[in-house]
Amino acid sequence: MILEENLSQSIYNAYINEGVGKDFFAKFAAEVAEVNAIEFLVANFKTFDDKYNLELMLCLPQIWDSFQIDDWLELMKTVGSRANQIKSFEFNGEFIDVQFLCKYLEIDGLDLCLNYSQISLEDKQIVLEYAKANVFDFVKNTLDYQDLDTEYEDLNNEIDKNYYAIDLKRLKEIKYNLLSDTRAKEFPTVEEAAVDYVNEIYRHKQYLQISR
Amino acid sequence: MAGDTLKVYGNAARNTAQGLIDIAIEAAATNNPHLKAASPIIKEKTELPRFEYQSEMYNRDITGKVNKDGITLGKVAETAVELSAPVIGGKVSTAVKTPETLQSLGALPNAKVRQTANAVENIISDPILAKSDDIASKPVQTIKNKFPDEPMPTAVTDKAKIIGVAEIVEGKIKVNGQLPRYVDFVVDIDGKLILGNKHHLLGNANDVQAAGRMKINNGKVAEINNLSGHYQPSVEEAMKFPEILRKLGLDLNRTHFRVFAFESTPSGNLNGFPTAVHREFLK
Repeated sequence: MILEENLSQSIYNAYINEGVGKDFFAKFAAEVAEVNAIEFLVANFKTFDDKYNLELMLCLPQIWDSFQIDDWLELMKTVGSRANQIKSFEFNGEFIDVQFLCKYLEIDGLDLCLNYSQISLEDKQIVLEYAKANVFDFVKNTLDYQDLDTEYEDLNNEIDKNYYAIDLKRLKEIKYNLLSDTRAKEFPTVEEAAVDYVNEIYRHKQYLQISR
Repeated sequence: MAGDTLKVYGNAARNTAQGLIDIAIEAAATNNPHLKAASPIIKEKTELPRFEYQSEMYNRDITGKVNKDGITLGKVAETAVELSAPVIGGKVSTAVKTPETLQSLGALPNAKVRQTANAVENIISDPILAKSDDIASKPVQTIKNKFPDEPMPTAVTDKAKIIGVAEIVEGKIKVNGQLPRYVDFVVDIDGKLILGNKHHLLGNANDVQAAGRMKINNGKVAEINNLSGHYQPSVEEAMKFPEILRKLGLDLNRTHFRVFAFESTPSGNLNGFPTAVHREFLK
């Protein structure tokens, strides 16, 4: 884990000063490929905020794009205990695993987390609280689609198409690969449906248990 | 453009005057014969100042036009140059050069120095501009830092960074350096938009007008919210963010605006997660 922590720290230190976006992260691709992907991601999630982690995920997708459901579950387990009271000065990246699955891969990361026996009941409740409060960040909005859609016609010249290293087409491919695992199901892609879905789970949160 | 979306108030007018002086200085320094003879004169004292330049070389007027990108001097002849000077929104530089300063710089002949200085003074003392200056510089609101006594975060231990003070050009953000997609921002009491990571550092522990996060795409503000643990802007305060940011000259058309409600403990720490309570695409 020390190797992964050191690498994540050195990338972050260079971030912004030496660049941003996919071209910046690509410079570290070879080094990242040499370390444990799950431990590398956890080192980032635990140390840096969600803004940075989201960029890391979308700019260096080779870290996670071959993950199977078991890998995602292992990632959720390795993240371990998550803060249930955000400190005054931190919006951390501890929920990026669940959120990224739901938002970008349209896989129900919340369901996977809540039904995974290796995650404590307390952490499941915290994840559910986070999802309820931030459900709008669990689905892509118009701007996200524009960012990721290589065919979107940017009439106003407002989008840097070369910022992220992954597009909608590739995200869909990964999604359908994950869906071949019967434990995976789709997460709602429409905001209203996502709100209803998360609220429904929340209403029954007393039934959360260690099940799978 | 005048009277429409143009945001030129007293500060901008002062900056414009400053810009005119700078042009004159530059002209003198570069020994450009076309500009050396030019000096600014106030032709019309309005909220949107226009300027007339007298070119002794061509014996004709050059009209200076003020817009949000600066002042532009129209071409007077094929050999004349086209210049512009930046008009930066927010707090104006108060370093208006005095006639004595200009003379000491050897920038202009005495008569021109006096004429230029008078032009600046006219702008500053103009009641219409002074009034609009109040509008421009007065903070829309003051949001208190909930933890002003906390130590300033550092780059090493707290991942704190200041990317820079934004310059607004044609409604978009420009900074010296790289802009990631998502940044923390504050608008300080003086109207400066400061971008980076960690609001406590960006606001220098002081009160601010606005604090939150921005998504920036190609310089365009794609998204804003009020997520700041140190300032925890209330819903009511956050709803004024578009007004504050537009006043700086930002184009918020189609910007995704989200407002979160914070629940705090008596110590000021957040009690649980901020909850999204409002969202819209601004028009």
